[in-house]
Amino acid sequence: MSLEIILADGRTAFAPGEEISGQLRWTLDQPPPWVELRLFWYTEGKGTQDVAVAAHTRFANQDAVGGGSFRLQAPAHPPSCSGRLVSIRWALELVTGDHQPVTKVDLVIAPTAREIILGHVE
Amino acid sequence: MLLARDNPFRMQRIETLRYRLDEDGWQQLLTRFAANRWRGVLVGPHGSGKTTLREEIEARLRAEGWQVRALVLGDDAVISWSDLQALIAGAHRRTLLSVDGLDRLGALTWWRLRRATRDIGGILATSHVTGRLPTLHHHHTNVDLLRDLLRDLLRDDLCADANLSADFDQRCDALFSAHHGDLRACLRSCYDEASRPESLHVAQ
Repeated sequence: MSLEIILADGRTAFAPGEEISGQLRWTLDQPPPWVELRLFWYTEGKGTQDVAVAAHTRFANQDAVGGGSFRLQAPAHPPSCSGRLVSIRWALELVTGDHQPVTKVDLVIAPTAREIILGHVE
Repeated sequence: MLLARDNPFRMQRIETLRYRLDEDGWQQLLTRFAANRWRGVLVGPHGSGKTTLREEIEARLRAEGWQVRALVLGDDAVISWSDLQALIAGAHRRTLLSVDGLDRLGALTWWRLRRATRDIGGILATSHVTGRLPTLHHHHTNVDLLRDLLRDLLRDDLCADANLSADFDQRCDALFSAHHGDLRACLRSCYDEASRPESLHVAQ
């Protein structure tokens, strides 16, 4: 069983408004009830995790072995950023049904396509 | 500076730690739970793993077809009887009511809730004190458990060798003592220490 998200040109960093595109491939033991690609952000750090889905595309009636292409627009907010207490990260996730394995690709979405590092004031 | 996403003690990694119970222990626990008509309370001090174990029991019962309805009561919890009625509406013999912080529920509310849930499948709760339900598990912590947890968290870390340095045991002893055995507080302290600009890592 395998799941793949293949980003066009291998790009994983985007500025807001830029196109995020690529291919999906899956090889499963049986036809999935559905296949969904999700673009979401999540936090990591000291506190409880926040997660929000910015865009999702569901593919119905798929075979056990299949694939497809996708095209999304990088959202403007929130930008990928990291400090000592919290990081905000973007990712694409391919899901093939409830309680099924998923695959995830981390992205950077921020102005100039670079993660913002939150400094501290002495 | 160690960024939050790279901190080995970030919440998302801590949540991957499993409750230390072998398969025999699980069998005994679930047998005891079933013998008490699936009613039981996990008792222990702050940061001793009650919520972790509760969530793992829920996951095991869900996998066997149970429906779980959770009620998490914080320190300043205010919950009305109508909220509780909504929570248990339609509950049946395969419904587990899971209450985190049973000791925070007022006596009268608990009495009404217990009456209203006589016929549901089960009640699993966590509490700092015994009573109200049969004690399913009494939680204790010790410094060896803290060491195990820290080793697990640091195992895949690039700095693992440095982390497991000569004074690791002493650092664990000091941490455990400073937080009076509250493992959650110990791990939060490790996060803070790791994130300090001057600190390369917690146990170096």
